[in-house]
Amino acid sequence: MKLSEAASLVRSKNAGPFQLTFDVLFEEVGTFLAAVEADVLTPAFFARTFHCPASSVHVYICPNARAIKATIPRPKTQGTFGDADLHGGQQYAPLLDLEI
Amino acid sequence: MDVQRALLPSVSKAFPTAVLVLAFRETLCREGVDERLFELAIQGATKAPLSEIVHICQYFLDQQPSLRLNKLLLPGKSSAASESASDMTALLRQSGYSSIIGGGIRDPLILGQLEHWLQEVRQRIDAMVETLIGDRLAGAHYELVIHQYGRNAVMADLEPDPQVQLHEVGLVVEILAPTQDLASLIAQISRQPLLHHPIPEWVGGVTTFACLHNPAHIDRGPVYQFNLNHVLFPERLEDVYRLELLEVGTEMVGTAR
Repeated sequence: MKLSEAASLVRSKNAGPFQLTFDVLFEEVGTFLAAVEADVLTPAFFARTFHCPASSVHVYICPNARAIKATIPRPKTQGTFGDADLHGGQQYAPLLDLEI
Repeated sequence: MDVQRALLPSVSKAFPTAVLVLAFRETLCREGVDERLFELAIQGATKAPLSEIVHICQYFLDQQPSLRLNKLLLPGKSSAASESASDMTALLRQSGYSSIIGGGIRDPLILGQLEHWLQEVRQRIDAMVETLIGDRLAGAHYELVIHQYGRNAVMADLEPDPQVQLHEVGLVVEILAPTQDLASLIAQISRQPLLHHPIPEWVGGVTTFACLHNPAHIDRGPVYQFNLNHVLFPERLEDVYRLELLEVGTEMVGTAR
Protein backbone atom coordinates (compact mmCIF):
# COMPACT_ATOMS: atom_id res chain seq x y z
CA MET A 1 0.00 0.00 0.00
CA LYS A 2 1.22 3.53 -0.73
CA LEU A 3 1.81 5.94 2.12
CA SER A 4 -0.72 8.34 0.58
CA GLU A 5 -3.41 5.62 0.84
CA ALA A 6 -2.43 4.49 4.34
CA ALA A 7 -2.12 7.89 5.99
CA SER A 8 -4.96 10.25 6.85
CA LEU A 9 -2.63 13.21 6.39
CA VAL A 10 0.81 13.82 4.90
CA ARG A 11 2.05 17.37 5.16
CA SER A 12 5.14 19.59 5.27
CA LYS A 13 5.66 22.95 6.96
CA ASN A 14 8.37 25.36 8.01
CA ALA A 15 9.83 24.68 11.45
CA GLY A 16 11.28 28.17 11.72
CA PRO A 17 13.13 29.68 8.77
CA PHE A 18 15.98 27.19 8.83
CA GLN A 19 14.18 23.85 9.13
CA LEU A 20 11.44 21.94 7.35
CA THR A 21 9.19 19.40 9.07
CA PHE A 22 7.01 16.56 7.79
CA ASP A 23 3.99 15.04 9.55
CA VAL A 24 2.49 11.70 8.57
CA LEU A 25 -0.68 10.92 10.56
CA PHE A 26 -2.75 7.72 10.65
CA GLU A 27 -6.38 7.12 11.53
CA GLU A 28 -5.86 3.46 12.51
CA VAL A 29 -3.28 2.00 14.87
CA GLY A 30 -2.84 -0.88 12.40
CA THR A 31 -1.74 1.28 9.49
CA PHE A 32 0.44 3.41 11.79
CA LEU A 33 2.21 0.27 13.02
CA ALA A 34 2.52 -1.02 9.45
CA ALA A 35 4.18 2.25 8.43
CA VAL A 36 6.56 2.10 11.40
CA GLU A 37 7.32 -1.54 10.58
CA ALA A 38 7.99 -0.68 6.90
CA ASP A 39 10.73 1.69 8.11
CA VAL A 40 10.66 3.85 4.97
CA LEU A 41 10.65 7.30 6.59
CA THR A 42 14.29 7.03 7.60
CA PRO A 43 17.11 9.60 7.86
CA ALA A 44 18.62 7.92 4.79
CA PHE A 45 15.41 8.48 2.79
CA PHE A 46 15.22 12.18 3.69
CA ALA A 47 18.96 12.65 3.14
CA ARG A 48 18.69 11.11 -0.34
CA THR A 49 15.49 12.92 -1.31
CA PHE A 50 16.22 16.37 0.10
CA HIS A 51 20.02 16.44 -0.34
CA CYS A 52 20.99 16.89 3.30
CA PRO A 53 23.27 14.93 5.62
CA ALA A 54 21.49 11.97 7.28
CA SER A 55 22.97 13.13 10.58
CA SER A 56 20.91 16.34 10.32
CA VAL A 57 17.59 14.48 9.92
CA HIS A 58 15.46 13.87 13.01
CA VAL A 59 12.71 11.24 12.81
CA TYR A 60 10.17 10.95 15.62
CA ILE A 61 7.78 8.01 16.07
CA CYS A 62 4.82 9.20 18.13
CA PRO A 63 2.50 6.26 19.04
CA ASN A 64 0.16 8.39 21.16
CA ALA A 65 -0.56 10.58 18.12
CA ARG A 66 -0.36 7.68 15.61
CA ALA A 67 2.14 9.90 13.81
CA ILE A 68 5.59 9.86 12.28
CA LYS A 69 7.36 13.19 12.18
CA ALA A 70 10.63 14.17 10.55
CA THR A 71 12.56 17.44 10.60
CA ILE A 72 15.32 18.30 8.12
CA PRO A 73 17.40 21.38 7.33
CA ARG A 74 15.32 23.57 5.03
CA PRO A 75 16.63 23.12 1.45
CA LYS A 76 16.82 26.91 1.23
CA THR A 77 16.40 29.29 4.14
CA GLN A 78 12.85 30.61 4.05
CA GLY A 79 12.55 33.58 1.73
CA THR A 80 16.08 33.32 0.40
CA PHE A 81 16.20 34.49 -3.21
CA GLY A 82 14.91 31.62 -5.37
CA ASP A 83 12.91 29.92 -2.59
CA ALA A 84 9.61 29.02 -4.26
CA ASP A 85 7.71 27.61 -1.26
CA LEU A 86 7.66 30.25 1.47
CA HIS A 87 5.63 28.12 3.91
CA GLY A 88 7.38 24.86 2.98
CA GLY A 89 3.88 23.48 2.49
CA GLN A 90 4.31 21.61 -0.80
CA GLN A 91 7.50 19.64 -0.21
CA TYR A 92 5.86 16.35 0.83
CA ALA A 93 5.12 14.93 -2.64
CA PRO A 94 8.15 12.56 -2.67
CA LEU A 95 6.75 10.81 0.44
CA LEU A 96 3.41 9.89 -1.12
CA ASP A 97 4.42 6.89 -3.22
CA LEU A 98 6.52 5.17 -0.54
CA GLU A 99 5.37 1.56 -0.20
CA ILE A 100 4.49 0.37 3.28
CA MET B 1 35.35 25.97 16.40
CA ASP B 2 37.55 27.89 13.96
CA VAL B 3 34.87 30.53 13.63
CA GLN B 4 34.64 30.72 17.40
CA ARG B 5 38.37 31.21 17.76
CA ALA B 6 38.39 33.82 15.03
CA LEU B 7 35.36 35.79 16.14
CA LEU B 8 35.09 35.85 19.89
CA PRO B 9 38.21 37.87 20.69
CA SER B 10 37.26 40.51 18.12
CA VAL B 11 33.69 40.69 19.42
CA SER B 12 34.97 41.02 22.99
CA LYS B 13 37.34 43.76 21.87
CA ALA B 14 34.64 45.65 19.99
CA PHE B 15 32.32 45.61 22.98
CA PRO B 16 34.67 45.59 25.98
CA THR B 17 32.36 47.09 28.58
CA ALA B 18 28.87 46.32 27.41
CA VAL B 19 28.51 42.57 27.57
CA LEU B 20 30.49 39.40 27.27
CA VAL B 21 29.77 37.12 24.36
CA LEU B 22 30.04 33.83 26.11
CA ALA B 23 29.34 30.91 23.89
CA PHE B 24 28.08 29.76 20.58
CA ARG B 25 27.93 26.50 18.77
CA GLU B 26 27.25 25.28 15.29
CA THR B 27 23.85 23.64 15.01
CA LEU B 28 23.51 22.25 11.54
CA CYS B 29 24.93 22.60 8.06
CA ARG B 30 23.37 21.86 4.74
CA GLU B 31 25.02 20.41 1.67
CA GLY B 32 25.57 22.92 -1.09
CA VAL B 33 24.26 25.87 0.93
CA ASP B 34 26.69 28.55 1.95
CA GLU B 35 25.01 29.20 5.27
CA ARG B 36 26.03 28.09 8.72
CA LEU B 37 23.65 28.11 11.62
CA PHE B 38 24.90 29.02 15.05
CA GLU B 39 23.60 29.52 18.53
CA LEU B 40 24.91 32.56 20.33
CA ALA B 41 24.68 33.27 24.05
CA ILE B 42 25.33 36.72 25.46
CA GLN B 43 26.09 36.64 29.16
CA GLY B 44 25.65 39.68 31.36
CA ALA B 45 23.14 41.30 29.03
CA THR B 46 20.72 41.73 31.96
CA LYS B 47 20.80 45.50 31.85
CA ALA B 48 21.90 46.10 28.28
CA PRO B 49 19.18 47.67 26.14
CA LEU B 50 17.91 45.50 23.34
CA SER B 51 19.26 47.96 20.76
CA GLU B 52 22.76 47.25 22.05
CA ILE B 53 22.18 43.49 21.79
CA VAL B 54 20.93 43.99 18.25
CA HIS B 55 24.12 45.93 17.56
CA ILE B 56 26.28 43.11 18.92
CA CYS B 57 24.40 40.48 16.89
CA GLN B 58 24.74 42.65 13.81
CA TYR B 59 28.46 42.91 14.39
CA PHE B 60 28.66 39.14 14.84
CA LEU B 61 26.70 38.46 11.64
CA ASP B 62 28.67 41.02 9.66
CA GLN B 63 31.92 39.17 10.37
CA GLN B 64 30.93 36.40 7.96
CA PRO B 65 28.05 36.68 5.48
CA SER B 66 27.35 32.93 5.71
CA LEU B 67 26.48 33.06 9.43
CA ARG B 68 22.87 32.67 10.57
CA LEU B 69 21.70 32.76 14.18
CA ASN B 70 19.42 29.84 14.94
CA LYS B 71 19.13 30.76 18.62
CA LEU B 72 20.10 33.85 20.59
CA LEU B 73 20.27 33.21 24.33
CA LEU B 74 20.12 36.07 26.79
CA PRO B 75 20.50 34.43 30.20
CA GLY B 76 19.23 36.43 33.14
CA LYS B 77 17.49 39.00 31.00
CA SER B 78 13.86 39.51 31.92
CA SER B 79 11.53 37.72 29.52
CA ALA B 80 9.46 40.89 29.54
CA ALA B 81 12.10 42.07 27.09
CA SER B 82 10.54 39.66 24.62
CA GLU B 83 7.74 42.17 24.25
CA SER B 84 10.19 44.30 22.35
CA ALA B 85 11.71 41.33 20.55
CA SER B 86 10.22 42.73 17.37
CA ASP B 87 13.16 45.15 17.54
CA MET B 88 15.19 42.13 16.51
CA THR B 89 13.70 42.43 13.02
CA ALA B 90 16.54 44.93 12.58
CA LEU B 91 18.61 41.79 12.09
CA LEU B 92 16.84 40.84 8.89
CA ARG B 93 19.45 41.22 6.19
CA GLN B 94 18.32 43.02 3.08
CA SER B 95 19.41 40.96 0.13
CA GLY B 96 18.55 43.60 -2.48
CA TYR B 97 15.62 44.62 -4.66
CA SER B 98 13.51 42.35 -6.80
CA SER B 99 11.53 42.54 -10.03
CA ILE B 100 9.57 39.72 -11.64
CA ILE B 101 8.04 38.83 -14.99
CA GLY B 102 5.20 36.31 -15.28
CA GLY B 103 3.90 34.51 -18.33
CA GLY B 104 3.73 31.21 -20.16
CA ILE B 105 4.72 29.08 -23.13
CA ARG B 106 2.38 26.91 -25.20
CA ASP B 107 4.41 26.06 -28.35
CA PRO B 108 5.15 22.28 -28.19
CA LEU B 109 8.37 22.76 -30.19
CA ILE B 110 9.76 25.10 -27.52
CA LEU B 111 8.39 22.97 -24.69
CA GLY B 112 10.19 19.96 -26.17
CA GLN B 113 13.54 21.69 -25.61
CA LEU B 114 12.59 23.96 -22.72
CA GLU B 115 15.61 23.46 -20.47
CA HIS B 116 18.03 24.06 -23.32
CA TRP B 117 16.06 27.04 -24.62
CA LEU B 118 15.94 28.65 -21.18
CA GLN B 119 19.70 28.19 -20.83
CA GLU B 120 20.20 30.08 -24.09
CA VAL B 121 17.75 32.77 -22.97
CA ARG B 122 19.71 33.19 -19.75
CA GLN B 123 22.99 33.48 -21.63
CA ARG B 124 21.43 36.04 -23.94
CA ILE B 125 20.10 38.04 -20.98
CA ASP B 126 23.52 38.01 -19.28
CA ALA B 127 25.19 39.16 -22.50
CA MET B 128 22.64 41.96 -23.07
CA VAL B 129 22.90 43.13 -19.45
CA GLU B 130 26.67 43.32 -19.83
CA THR B 131 26.42 45.25 -23.11
CA LEU B 132 23.62 47.61 -22.18
CA ILE B 133 24.13 48.39 -18.49
CA GLY B 134 27.50 46.84 -17.67
CA ASP B 135 28.87 50.29 -16.80
CA ARG B 136 25.97 51.02 -14.46
CA LEU B 137 26.30 47.64 -12.76
CA ALA B 138 30.03 48.29 -12.32
CA GLY B 139 30.68 44.69 -11.34
CA ALA B 140 27.75 44.57 -8.91
CA HIS B 141 26.19 41.16 -8.54
CA TYR B 142 22.71 40.33 -9.75
CA GLU B 143 20.80 37.05 -9.67
CA LEU B 144 18.15 35.69 -11.95
CA VAL B 145 16.03 32.56 -11.51
CA ILE B 146 13.36 31.20 -13.82
CA HIS B 147 10.67 29.21 -12.02
CA GLN B 148 9.03 26.71 -14.39
CA TYR B 149 5.48 26.16 -13.10
CA GLY B 150 4.05 22.93 -14.47
CA ARG B 151 7.45 21.34 -14.60
CA ASN B 152 9.53 21.71 -11.42
CA ALA B 153 8.94 25.17 -9.93
CA VAL B 154 7.78 24.07 -6.48
CA MET B 155 10.65 21.69 -5.68
CA ALA B 156 13.28 22.95 -8.17
CA ASP B 157 16.42 20.80 -7.98
CA LEU B 158 14.74 18.43 -5.53
CA GLU B 159 11.88 17.58 -7.93
CA PRO B 160 12.00 13.79 -8.32
CA ASP B 161 9.84 13.77 -11.47
CA PRO B 162 10.43 16.88 -13.62
CA GLN B 163 7.80 16.85 -16.37
CA VAL B 164 9.19 16.49 -19.87
CA GLN B 165 5.89 15.99 -21.73
CA LEU B 166 4.55 19.50 -21.27
CA HIS B 167 1.30 20.90 -22.60
CA GLU B 168 1.86 24.41 -21.26
CA VAL B 169 4.29 25.87 -18.73
CA GLY B 170 4.08 28.97 -16.56
CA LEU B 171 7.28 30.96 -16.10
CA VAL B 172 8.15 33.42 -13.37
CA VAL B 173 11.42 35.19 -13.97
CA GLU B 174 12.76 36.64 -10.75
CA ILE B 175 15.61 39.15 -10.57
CA LEU B 176 17.60 40.29 -7.55
CA ALA B 177 19.85 43.35 -7.86
CA PRO B 178 21.45 45.92 -5.53
CA THR B 179 18.92 48.68 -6.39
CA GLN B 180 15.34 48.74 -7.63
CA ASP B 181 16.39 50.65 -10.74
CA LEU B 182 18.85 47.92 -11.67
CA ALA B 183 16.42 45.07 -10.90
CA SER B 184 13.81 46.84 -13.00
CA LEU B 185 16.21 47.43 -15.90
CA ILE B 186 17.43 43.82 -15.90
CA ALA B 187 13.81 42.64 -15.94
CA GLN B 188 13.10 44.89 -18.93
CA ILE B 189 16.18 43.56 -20.70
CA SER B 190 15.07 39.96 -19.94
CA ARG B 191 11.79 40.52 -21.70
CA GLN B 192 13.36 40.68 -25.16
CA PRO B 193 15.14 37.27 -25.21
CA LEU B 194 12.10 35.65 -23.55
CA LEU B 195 9.83 37.05 -26.24
CA HIS B 196 11.94 36.34 -29.27
CA HIS B 197 14.81 33.92 -28.68
CA PRO B 198 14.63 31.61 -31.73
CA ILE B 199 14.47 27.82 -32.01
CA PRO B 200 15.91 26.05 -35.08
CA GLU B 201 12.50 24.61 -36.08
CA TRP B 202 11.10 28.03 -37.00
CA VAL B 203 12.49 30.25 -39.75
CA GLY B 204 12.01 33.97 -39.15
CA GLY B 205 10.88 35.96 -36.13
CA VAL B 206 8.64 34.23 -33.63
CA THR B 207 7.11 35.36 -30.37
CA THR B 208 8.02 32.68 -27.89
CA PHE B 209 6.53 33.85 -24.60
CA ALA B 210 3.04 34.94 -23.53
CA CYS B 211 3.47 37.90 -21.20
CA LEU B 212 0.90 38.15 -18.43
CA HIS B 213 1.27 41.92 -18.03
CA ASN B 214 2.21 45.06 -19.89
CA PRO B 215 4.65 46.47 -18.89
CA ALA B 216 5.86 42.89 -18.46
CA HIS B 217 7.73 43.37 -15.20
CA ILE B 218 6.54 44.07 -11.67
CA ASP B 219 8.85 45.77 -9.16
CA ARG B 220 8.69 44.01 -5.82
CA GLY B 221 10.75 46.47 -3.77
CA PRO B 222 13.29 45.48 -1.11
CA VAL B 223 13.63 41.79 -0.24
CA TYR B 224 15.13 40.33 2.91
CA GLN B 225 16.52 37.14 4.29
CA PHE B 226 16.31 35.59 7.74
CA ASN B 227 19.34 35.89 9.99
CA LEU B 228 17.79 34.94 13.32
CA ASN B 229 15.30 32.27 14.30
CA HIS B 230 14.47 32.70 17.97
CA VAL B 231 15.48 34.46 21.15
CA LEU B 232 15.58 32.63 24.50
CA PHE B 233 15.55 34.17 27.97
CA PRO B 234 16.75 31.39 30.29
CA GLU B 235 17.37 32.26 33.95
CA ARG B 236 20.87 30.82 33.71
CA LEU B 237 22.83 29.65 30.68
CA GLU B 238 23.44 26.36 32.50
CA ASP B 239 19.70 25.68 32.21
CA VAL B 240 20.21 25.31 28.47
CA TYR B 241 23.78 24.07 28.01
CA ARG B 242 26.45 22.17 29.81
CA LEU B 243 29.47 24.46 29.71
CA GLU B 244 33.11 23.82 29.18
CA LEU B 245 35.55 26.72 29.56
CA LEU B 246 38.26 27.18 26.96
CA GLU B 247 41.11 29.62 26.77
CA VAL B 248 41.32 31.40 23.41
CA GLY B 249 44.37 33.65 23.27
CA THR B 250 44.10 35.75 26.38
CA GLU B 251 40.31 35.68 26.40
CA MET B 252 38.47 33.18 28.54
CA VAL B 253 35.43 32.00 26.63
CA GLY B 254 32.95 29.22 26.98
CA THR B 255 31.85 26.59 24.57
CA ALA B 256 28.46 24.95 24.85
CA ARG B 257 27.87 21.24 24.61
